[in-house]
Amino acid sequence: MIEFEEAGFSYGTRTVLRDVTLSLAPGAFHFLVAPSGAGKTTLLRLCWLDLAPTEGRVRHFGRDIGRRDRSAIASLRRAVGVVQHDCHLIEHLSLAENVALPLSVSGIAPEERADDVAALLAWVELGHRARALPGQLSGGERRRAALARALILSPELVLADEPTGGVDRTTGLGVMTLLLELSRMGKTVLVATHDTDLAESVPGAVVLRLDEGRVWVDEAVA
Amino acid sequence: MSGRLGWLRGDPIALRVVPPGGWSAATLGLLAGVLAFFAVLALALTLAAGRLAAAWEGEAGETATLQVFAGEEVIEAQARAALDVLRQTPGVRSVRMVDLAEQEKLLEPWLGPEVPMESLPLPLLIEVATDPEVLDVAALEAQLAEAAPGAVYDDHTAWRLPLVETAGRVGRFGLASLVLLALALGAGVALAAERAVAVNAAAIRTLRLVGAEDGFIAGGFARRLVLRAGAGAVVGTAAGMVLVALLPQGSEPGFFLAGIGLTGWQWLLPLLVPVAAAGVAWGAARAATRRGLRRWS
Repeated sequence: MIEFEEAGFSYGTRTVLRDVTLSLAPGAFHFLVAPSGAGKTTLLRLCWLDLAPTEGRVRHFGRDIGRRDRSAIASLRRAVGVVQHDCHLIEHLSLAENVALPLSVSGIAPEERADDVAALLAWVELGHRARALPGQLSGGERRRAALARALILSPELVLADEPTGGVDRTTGLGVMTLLLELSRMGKTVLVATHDTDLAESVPGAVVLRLDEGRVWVDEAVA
Repeated sequence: MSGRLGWLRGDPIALRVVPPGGWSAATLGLLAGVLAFFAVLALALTLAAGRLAAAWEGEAGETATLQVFAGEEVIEAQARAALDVLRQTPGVRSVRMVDLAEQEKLLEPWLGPEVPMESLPLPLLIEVATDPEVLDVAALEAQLAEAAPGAVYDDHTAWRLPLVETAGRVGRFGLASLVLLALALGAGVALAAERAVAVNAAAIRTLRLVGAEDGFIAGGFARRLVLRAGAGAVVGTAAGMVLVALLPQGSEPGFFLAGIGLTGWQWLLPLLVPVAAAGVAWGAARAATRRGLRRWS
């Protein structure tokens, strides 16, 4: 699915990732655990080609996509659902329109998939807020809205960056429950978190630890 | 959504991904309106110049004047001889003596009504209708010099050709103005597009996150800008057409802009101005947005 082969990344002279070799197991639930600033977001951005490795290579769905192949990059992003920490909702579009945005981008008329949008909003328990603007939502609701948007095109891989960060424990657990449900549906999930306890609380999850730019794979949590 | 206007509506989300914008949107609309207004005037000027050039080249080129200057005792004899020559010359369609009353009427605007015309040494005037394709002017002048030495043949070339040339230049000036106005609109739209890309960085980041290609994003910006520029151009065109309609027409004497109006089917041409403005805006917006997006990645 996503394979890192001795990949590294540097912001100028500051090396964030080095010699990373890993492969995301299809259908598995992965945690990427590291303290803030260790490079978790950078590794996720390499997964959805927001960044290209400065060393080694990252293969996406068996392909080596060049940085200049903008069409292939866009196509890859439509195949990967991404939930970023700050959600990136478009503030002047309603919640339903934000969720339907990937449909428009893919050339699918949103009205054709209005039922899917409604079902997803109901799944993340935001069905009653479909017409609300993102500015009217709480942090947890924004996170769930971003998750619904990430799933509208039924991606095989879902990436979530600190999905429980910045929200209260109950809200965070609600988002994690949704992600676990996705994993049970057979999606591959990668969650970046600084919360070691959270990572160790999910049975069967693959835990990737990021330390000084290198990634270590823990045994699956029993 | 089918049909050529489909992209204007697009799907409702694709149209709305770029926020409507406030002050900058109004500015672009105003700019397009002012440029469209002047484009209509330039178009009217170009068409009027073309009409004038055609008239001066056509009808005016088919008339000439023969003036007979001579002493009182021989002037009538010379006029008769000149008329004989004219009537026998191939390419002369008709001849007509201009009587004194008519001459007075022609001269009155220049000399005033008080001047006693009888006291002036006026020539005898003969109006000649010609077929310039057939008439040999040099041969005619040679014959006239022999038969009526006081006759002066004037086919108006001296004033007509400079006027035709001037009208042609005015027409070219009008066309150049239209091109410059289109360039100005393109530049204005490009600036607006670059600004829109800069202030909508968050929306662009989100669109890229969900897999939008640059063409989709550029299309969103272009659609917004085309609608703004097009709306402004419609208003500017309407205002320009009203002004052109209010200009004195050719039949109204005493005004130097007489004849700058539009006639008949020409009234349809200004309707192309908003279409052209939308086309220019579309091209400029897409190019500028794509350039901005490339710089950004």
